[in-house]
Amino acid sequence: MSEMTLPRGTAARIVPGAILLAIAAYFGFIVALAQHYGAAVSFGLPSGAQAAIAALAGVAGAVYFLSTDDLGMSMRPAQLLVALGVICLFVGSYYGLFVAPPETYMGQVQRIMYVHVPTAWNALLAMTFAFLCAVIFLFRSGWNWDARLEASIELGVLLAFLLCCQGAIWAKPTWGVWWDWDPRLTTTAVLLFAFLGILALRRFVEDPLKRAVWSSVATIIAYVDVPIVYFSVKWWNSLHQQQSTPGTVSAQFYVPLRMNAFGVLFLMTGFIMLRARIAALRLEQELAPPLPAEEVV
Amino acid sequence: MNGGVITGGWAYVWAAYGLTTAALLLYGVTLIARLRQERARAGRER
Repeated sequence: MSEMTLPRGTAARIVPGAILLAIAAYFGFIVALAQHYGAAVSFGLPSGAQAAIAALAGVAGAVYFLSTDDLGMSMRPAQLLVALGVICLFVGSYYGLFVAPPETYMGQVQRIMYVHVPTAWNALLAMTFAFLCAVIFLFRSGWNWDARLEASIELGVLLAFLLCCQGAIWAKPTWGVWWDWDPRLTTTAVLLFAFLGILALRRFVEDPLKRAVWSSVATIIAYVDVPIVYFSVKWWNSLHQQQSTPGTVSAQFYVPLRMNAFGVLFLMTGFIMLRARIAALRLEQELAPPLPAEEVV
Repeated sequence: MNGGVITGGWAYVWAAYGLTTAALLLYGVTLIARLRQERARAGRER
């Protein structure tokens, strides 16, 4: 069977996830895009409720895709998600760079928000999925969960690294410095290096069971920093601004922000599914029984 | 900076978008290469 064909079982399995992501995309940015052109398609829901539905359905859809993927030969769902992600990022970035107006005080520099905030949300989501994988592996010992753990940590690290770089680029014109040991920045850097350390740990430990258990425990410990990162701007006096809500973001900024948020979500989900296949193939080799002595060359 | 308002700054915007695009693109390419390599190795061992 070609890798580009979608087996009937796979097609049936992805339907609930696809419905959830479609609902999320509808209330996330399609409604905002329609409103931008004067069409009212929100069923009378206030923007806060739309954002909440979009966020919940988006997270549920991504987690559904990641959790039910059998890491088998069919790569079509992951490829479709990557393609959707690229399209959303392309359109969202176009709106962010050329259509949305500049912000009153930050001017053009504020356009960095359209990549920075989606990266932040999805970095924390990737690490949350890694935490779920770690807990499930420790309770159920399924090797697919170890493969998903490795994949989600790697994507979390990539996004957290990008987050720090984008933040530094935005900080220079607005704060006058590339970096400041501010609570939000410091806790994010700690998060990045903690999860990078777990990836390094996985490289050094050869025994698959020890590697899986140790990295699961380390992930659960490192995850403690995720809520600290999120609430750091509320708990401490921070240079970094507090979280925005639909009530504090101008409607003109919704479209690029939300399209890019879903673009990164789709791309990240597809990448985790593909990366988990690499980890699963390596595990398959490591866990395979050794060949009989006469067959070993 | 002009009276509390930042003027210009497109270079920072392009830097942030460029870095993000390059990193995601590079990661995607390495992901495909690693996946192909692993699948080829797994195929040889079967």
